[in-house]
Amino acid sequence: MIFTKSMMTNSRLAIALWASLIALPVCAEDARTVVTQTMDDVVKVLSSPDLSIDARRTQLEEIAYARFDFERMSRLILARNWKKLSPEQRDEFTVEFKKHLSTTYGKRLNADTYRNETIEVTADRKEKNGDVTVKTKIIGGAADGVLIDYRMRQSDSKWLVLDVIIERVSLVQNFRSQIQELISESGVSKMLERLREKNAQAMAQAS
Amino acid sequence: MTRLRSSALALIAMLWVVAMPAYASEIDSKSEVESNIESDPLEGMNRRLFWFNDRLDVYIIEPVGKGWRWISPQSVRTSLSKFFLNLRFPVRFVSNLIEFNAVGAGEELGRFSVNTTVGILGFFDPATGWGLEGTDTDVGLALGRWGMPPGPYLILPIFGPSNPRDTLGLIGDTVLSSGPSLISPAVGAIVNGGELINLRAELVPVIDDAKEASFDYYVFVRNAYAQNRRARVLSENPDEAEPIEDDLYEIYDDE
Repeated sequence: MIFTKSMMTNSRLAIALWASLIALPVCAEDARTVVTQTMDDVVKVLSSPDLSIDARRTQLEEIAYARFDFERMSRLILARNWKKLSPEQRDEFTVEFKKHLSTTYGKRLNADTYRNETIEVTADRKEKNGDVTVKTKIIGGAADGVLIDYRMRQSDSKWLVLDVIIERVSLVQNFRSQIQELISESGVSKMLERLREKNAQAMAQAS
Repeated sequence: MTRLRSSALALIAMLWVVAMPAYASEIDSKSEVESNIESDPLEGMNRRLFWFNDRLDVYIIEPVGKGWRWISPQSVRTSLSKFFLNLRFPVRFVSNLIEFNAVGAGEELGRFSVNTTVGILGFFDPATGWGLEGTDTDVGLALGRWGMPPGPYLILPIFGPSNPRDTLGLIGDTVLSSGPSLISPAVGAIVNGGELINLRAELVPVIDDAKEASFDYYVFVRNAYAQNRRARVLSENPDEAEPIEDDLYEIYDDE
């Protein structure tokens, strides 16, 4: 009896140890490293000349989808309006918001406008609530010196982007303000309609 | 000119008087969600002026800016931006003095001397490489750093997004950057016009994206202006923007 119990403890221990070894590289990754790695990945995709436009877009989307916490971002944007939405409307908002970001940002990040700019990670700052803000700066090109900060939050030991702050303008706060205006002017369903309409327009232009 | 200035001052004083009570009551009855960094009690008037400015841009400034963008290489536009930035040295110098920032004022003086001479009238910027990175300031920011509240959002005809504090700042900036106009009105017009067109040319992708990506362009600009000015007032160092309010990142629960 005692024998089996200790064996069980041992095997549990072994599993825990094994799991922690696997998880170790992830834990060791701090927010700054994640941002640096992500920027390197983006620059690599942008500067590879033999990728087709579609392949490039897909790869950039994959990078963004792996690094952005769209669901949390959606909740932050809706703020207290969150409770005015039904579960279906919440899901729809998250989907449309994700689509919106990838079409608008995907377009901005294309090879035609890429002029060998690099992104320098300049600093990181730990926030009061445990988030980490990683500061970056664009070097070279027309956008030389533009400041882009990434607010990162850890979720299941992974650092994900919670907000992008371009030239001191938080995307979450900006969207929150626009969405608030739309909801207070014409209600939740009209706001969702506007979101769908806007995405359909952007998709039509992108293709 | 003096008359124009005093009537502009009178206008601002009037806006303060008209807008402040509305602003104060706005704060009291603030809806629970809206952030109060972008109070906009004059939204109706602002939206009309915003629309007027946008027409002015779409029909005149944007086409000229796009034309200039089309015929000029990026390097020329970058050098011109540097030239105009260097010309605005008195604005930053005096704003630093208003802030009692002697180091900043000295740095700006150093930049101006180096870039005007070695940098050939400011078309190049060797000063940054020499460790003189410059300061981020103007009269509106200097007033803000002294604690003057921005007041409600205000769209100025032609000049665009502002608030009473920044309008006062704009008058200061205009006086301080009127050097070229003192040489002759024609020189002043060329410099101001050139600066506007070159800036508009550089902003083509930014404004196109903003119009396309926003759900409400007016609110997009209002919020971006408020956030940007607020963060710059709060930051001592141009690269050290203060954190935005912490509750921005609090997840609201269902109940």
